[in-house]
Amino acid sequence: MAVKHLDLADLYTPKTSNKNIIVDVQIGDGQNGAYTVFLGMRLISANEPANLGKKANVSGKKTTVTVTIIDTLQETNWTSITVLVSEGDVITTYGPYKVEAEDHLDTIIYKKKLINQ
Amino acid sequence: MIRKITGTILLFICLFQKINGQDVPKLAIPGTPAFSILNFEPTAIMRPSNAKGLAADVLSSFDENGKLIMNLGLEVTPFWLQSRPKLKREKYLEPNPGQAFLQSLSFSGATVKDSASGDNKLGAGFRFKLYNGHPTDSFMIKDAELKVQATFQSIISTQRSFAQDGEIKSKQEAIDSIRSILLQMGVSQANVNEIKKRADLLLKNHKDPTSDSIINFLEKLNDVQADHYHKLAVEVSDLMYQRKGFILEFAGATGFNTSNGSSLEKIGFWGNVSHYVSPDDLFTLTARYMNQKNENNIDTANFDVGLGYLKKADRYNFSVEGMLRWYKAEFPVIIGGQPAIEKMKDFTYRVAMQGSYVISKDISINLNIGKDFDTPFAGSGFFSILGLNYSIFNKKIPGLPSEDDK
Repeated sequence: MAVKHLDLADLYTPKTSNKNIIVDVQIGDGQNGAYTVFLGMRLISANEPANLGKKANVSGKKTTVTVTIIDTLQETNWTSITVLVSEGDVITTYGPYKVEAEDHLDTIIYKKKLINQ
Repeated sequence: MIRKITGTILLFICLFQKINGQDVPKLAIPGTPAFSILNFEPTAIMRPSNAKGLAADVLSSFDENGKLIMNLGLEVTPFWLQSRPKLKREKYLEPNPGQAFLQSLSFSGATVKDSASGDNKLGAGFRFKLYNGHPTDSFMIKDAELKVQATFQSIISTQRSFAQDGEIKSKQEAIDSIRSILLQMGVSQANVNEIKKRADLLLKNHKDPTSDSIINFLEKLNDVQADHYHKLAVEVSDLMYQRKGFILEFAGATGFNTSNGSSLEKIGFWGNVSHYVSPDDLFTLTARYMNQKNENNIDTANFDVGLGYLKKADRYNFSVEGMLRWYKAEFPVIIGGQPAIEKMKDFTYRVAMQGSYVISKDISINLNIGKDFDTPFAGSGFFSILGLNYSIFNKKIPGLPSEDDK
């Protein structure tokens, strides 16, 4: 039952200065999984959309989204995630990122780091 | 007295032969229709999980002369040949009919060399569900527990990310940070202590002198946690396929004789409706049409409708079933020196009750009683058998016969 790590990084430029920045995660392939969202070293949310506050609150900090998926489906070993950052109606999508687990019941941990400008 | 005992033994042998010769109940759709139509379970079964694997498996099914290799099986579910990033857990677990169809539609193929005739046989089949019931309560509880474990993994891995960025400078600092975050999240003190205990033990034995020591330590902690929830993940993966409620599924298969101009020999269709009161307590209604022509040109067709009830418990299994069969048979005969076709058309039925009871860990008693189908060539008969099963290696309760037992 192996654990595989996938590290990803990107820049994020806030699109507005007066709207809250919300980070959400979609876990695909029907798999069971969980995620956490940190701003800097502070936990903002686990398994629900994270409100990071407005542009002034995030600029110069990093957002770390960590998603763990345990492959429990017998039909497939595919796992996938999509990270969504929204400011009002403006949505920035990262992914989908996909990893096929080598063996059934393996754990895949995705880490997406966003450097907020 | 000796005559009486001999008679009893003979009767037992007759009953036993009758049981062995009886048609196994078919109140279920075959797991892999192509294998079922050929009455054959291939030694090598290919189950590709992606398009590349499928292409490789299809290519490897032919020899250098372009001929199909015998004794192979292939089963593929097209929907799962690629990743489905938009398929959320909820939709997968509670699919509408369209989604249930996509998720479950599978195709199977098999090749076999008939040991009696030497002919090469090819089977092809499909299977799909339109309704797949609902997850059980016990599954939902275990699935939620597994999600909690996945959340712990995310927290540990985030510390790994902080260590990569130089924000966490020692293993002890990482452990303290994990503990503090878990408490902030409202995780119970017992759970936090359990994780800390594992981390402390790992720390004690972790002698990595490299500069990546903290990252390596946290990755090891992820591994230790994964070992911890392995059993839970196995349970979730098993419970996911034990459904309750209404299930509707269909299957079909055809069998060809490829040594004889790829002539069609068998065709079968199955439809099954089940209602699972619980995974161990179900009613099932099956309809089936089968047509086959053998090498002696005997053409038989039958349409079956059967209703069954199955109850499983810790110490006993019980099932009762009834099946109605309308059949016809056509076979060549010689009448007055001239070849002719004789046709038979009739109705028959089967009723059966089966049960087993575990007396002790290794001993169970089994009862099988009922009336089998009449056949055009073998007549009919009641059957009953009472058996005692002693198992040295298999501690499981003896299962009831199913289509897959064939």
